[in-house]
Amino acid sequence: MGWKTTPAAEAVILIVEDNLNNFILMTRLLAFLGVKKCEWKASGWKVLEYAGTLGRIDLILMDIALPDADGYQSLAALRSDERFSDVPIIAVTADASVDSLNRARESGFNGFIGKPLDPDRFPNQIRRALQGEEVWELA
Amino acid sequence: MGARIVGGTPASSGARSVPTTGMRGGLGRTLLTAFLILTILPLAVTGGYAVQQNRSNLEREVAAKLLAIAVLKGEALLRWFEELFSSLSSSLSAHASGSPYEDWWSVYRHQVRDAVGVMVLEDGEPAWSAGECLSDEQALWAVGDIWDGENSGRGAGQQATGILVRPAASVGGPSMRSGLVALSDAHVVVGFAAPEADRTVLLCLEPETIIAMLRTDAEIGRTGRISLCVPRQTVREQVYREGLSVVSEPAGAGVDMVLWPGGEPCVMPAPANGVDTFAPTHQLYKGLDGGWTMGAFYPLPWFDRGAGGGIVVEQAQAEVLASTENMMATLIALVLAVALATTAIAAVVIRQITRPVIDLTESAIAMAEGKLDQRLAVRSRDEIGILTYVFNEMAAELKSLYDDLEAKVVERTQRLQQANYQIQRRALHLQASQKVGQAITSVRDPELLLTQVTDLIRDHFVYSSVAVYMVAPGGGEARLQACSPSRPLVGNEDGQPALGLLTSGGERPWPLTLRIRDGSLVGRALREGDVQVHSEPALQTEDRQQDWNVRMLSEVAVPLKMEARVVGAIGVVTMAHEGIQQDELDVLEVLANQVTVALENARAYERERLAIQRMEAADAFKVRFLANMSHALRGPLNTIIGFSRLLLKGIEGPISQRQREDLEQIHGDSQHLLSLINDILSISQIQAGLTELRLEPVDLAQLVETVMPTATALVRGKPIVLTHDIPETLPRLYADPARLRHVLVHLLNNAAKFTQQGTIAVRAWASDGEVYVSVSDSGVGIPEGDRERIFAYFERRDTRAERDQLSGGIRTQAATTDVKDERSEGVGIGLALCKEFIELHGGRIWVDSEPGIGSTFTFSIGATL
Repeated sequence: MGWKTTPAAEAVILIVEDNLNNFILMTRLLAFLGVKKCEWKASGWKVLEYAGTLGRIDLILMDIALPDADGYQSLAALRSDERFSDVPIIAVTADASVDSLNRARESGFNGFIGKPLDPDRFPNQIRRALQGEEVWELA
Repeated sequence: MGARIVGGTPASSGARSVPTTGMRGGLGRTLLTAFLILTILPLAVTGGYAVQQNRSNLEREVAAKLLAIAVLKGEALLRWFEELFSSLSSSLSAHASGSPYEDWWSVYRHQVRDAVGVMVLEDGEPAWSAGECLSDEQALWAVGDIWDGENSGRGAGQQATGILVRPAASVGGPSMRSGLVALSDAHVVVGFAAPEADRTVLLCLEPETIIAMLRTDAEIGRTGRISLCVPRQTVREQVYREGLSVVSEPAGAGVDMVLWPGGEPCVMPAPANGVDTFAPTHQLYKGLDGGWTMGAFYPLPWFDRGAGGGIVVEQAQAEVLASTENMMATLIALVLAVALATTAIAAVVIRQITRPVIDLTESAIAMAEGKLDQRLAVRSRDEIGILTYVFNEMAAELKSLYDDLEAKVVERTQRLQQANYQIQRRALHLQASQKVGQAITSVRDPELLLTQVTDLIRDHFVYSSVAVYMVAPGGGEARLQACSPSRPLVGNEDGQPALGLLTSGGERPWPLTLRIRDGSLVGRALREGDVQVHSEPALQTEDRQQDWNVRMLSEVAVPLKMEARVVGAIGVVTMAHEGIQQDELDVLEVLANQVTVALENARAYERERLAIQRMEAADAFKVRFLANMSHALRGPLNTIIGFSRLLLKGIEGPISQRQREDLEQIHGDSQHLLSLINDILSISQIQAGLTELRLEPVDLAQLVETVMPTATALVRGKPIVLTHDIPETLPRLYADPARLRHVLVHLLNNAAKFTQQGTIAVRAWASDGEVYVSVSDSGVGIPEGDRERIFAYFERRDTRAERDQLSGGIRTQAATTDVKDERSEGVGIGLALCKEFIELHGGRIWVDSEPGIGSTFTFSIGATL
């Protein structure tokens, strides 16, 4: 893929996740990876607008089951803006099923990571994503 | 015997064809034939036989007569010949030898007055002759023949004769030969050889001498004649004249015979048997004129060379039988007369008999056409008369029977009509029953059902009004549930008396509610639980009230009974001439039963439907609840697992060994809980029918390859050899790869859990269109009693009893699902889910195990084509 490789230390990652604990877990794991900047959006409400305020985003981790607008709607909103048309967006969802994964693929996500997150693998998954790989893993 | 057309009009005769012409006169024919056979035929046969006998008798007589004549004449001729010879012989003996023959002749010719010439031969040579008779050559030839060539002085040419007669020894005696030498119309020459054999005398005689001798005193009719039958040469003139030059002619059967006098060919053949040539014979043969001729033949001994010859006496057969012809004619005339008489008699007799018979026939035909009053006059006092009398009797009897029959037919027809009416009523009732039955089975709504039933009953039974009351809760009242016609009810809503409130149209106002204790008919039916009927003449306006038009007003109440309990009643009001009848009541009762059952069914159905609705709702809720719950459970678990792992990885800082152990406990149990929740979710989806397989061609070898790293991770740290053996020739499966993977992972996980050391092997093979996959381990094994149950949901095998049974024995996989942690034992949902997945694929899964040795889980799925 033509995405640029971003070093973890410089990466800005937007996490759209309604569960605070999950967000914290992810930031801890990302910190382990070396990521310093993690932005949090706790609902699907105006994700695009929020993203627009951040300036630079290297990766978006998107929960599917979200208040207000779900992950697919948020993805569509982001993809409609040219600023985010090339940003890798990975679905991170508890609905870790093949159906769900396929739907994510069809909708235009760049990857899929099923919950529960595997702390052993998650940092590696994110590293691959930051290197421009597509990550499709159920669990 | 005339053919008469019998019958009335042409139409009727056409309708009933009587075989008149073909059959009339049959009796006459029969009689005539009988007469002919019995009388005329024997007469004719007897007559014919008699005539034939007569003819053959006559023939025999004539034949005998002819034969007798032939014999007589023949013997007379021979006797004459003998006398002539003896006279000649004696005169010659008396004649002195050497004296001139003139002297002898002058003396002797007086003895043979009819001689016209004489010739004497000495030593075979003509010595003397007188008169006209034969030339010398002829004489020589004749004598030569007499001697038959024995005369040695004869030349070769002279000896070549042999056609003339030769005197036979029997005639001529031992010393003298004589015979007929020649015959012609002019002469008869007889020759005599003297005893001394050196002198021969030939006498020439007038033919009339012999003819007279033959033909005198012979009564043989007009056609009869007597002739000599001789060889032709004997009578040929030229033979005499040129005799010596005549060459020999063949003798025997072919000798040409002629009759003398006349010279006609002699058709009388020689006697058939050559043995008895001289036997007289008679024969019937075709004469020269073509007609049958009877002939008798007397052979003369002169002709002995097989040439035959003799006296023939013949007569035409026609003349012989002339007398029998008359007889025949008489016979034929007689037969014809008898036949004619017979016919006439038969005609008369037949006319006598058939006339009355024809009359009888005509009467019978008229009777067959329905004219029963037939009477015939009794004309004769015989059998026919008796028959006519009996016929009259029979006709009278028939007429009275017929009249009786008509009355019976009228009566039967009436009964039949009644029965027909009953049958129609029954049919209507049956139809109503059927319609109600249909409504009952098809209509589920009780109110609609009752409305339809009341309408149906009213329509089919032509009732004025029909209503259904149901007992209200409490039992003191009944409410009107349906009525037909469903007009606005008239009258007050209190219980009305059952009768006497008819409106002019005959409809009955049904109160909305009625008390069971009131006096109404429906109330009584509800109270007493049986059919109530009340009938009375309908009230009518005075001027129209006539006896024939009085209609019965009937009211019926039929209880609706559920077993012994009365749940309602059907009320009926009807106006009919005959009132309401028992069969109608029976049908109404049957219908009431049907309605009761239907109501109960409808209620049961409604209850059932509600129950199902509730169940469906509960099911949906359960599925939704399970899905939501597992989803909600996974959130916190996610966090627990994540953070405990985070801590374990030392990301948050170093931890002590004790802390690590605690965290590992938390982490492990959380993982287990998560897998349980996942399984529960899957199962709830399967049970709700929400699971759909994503079937696609699956390369099993590839799939196993992707699973093996997971398995390797599972057995990390244990002395276990992990192998897999998937043949490359394995057919591709058509399956859901994710589900198949799930099953494989679970089986491997299971095997890893229960195996402390040894091997875990994955194998696959194909057989009979099925692909088999097995996961074998060298673990603790499963006792036989548990092998089925481990595939069941939440099947706990570590009950106290089982645990006791197993104490000291082998720890089994079934007894615990997690060796590492006994507290989490016992929920075998994973294998159940595997079973569900495999069965969704149309396959099956089973386990073979030996406790202490190991277990092998095998599943099979149909291979793709």
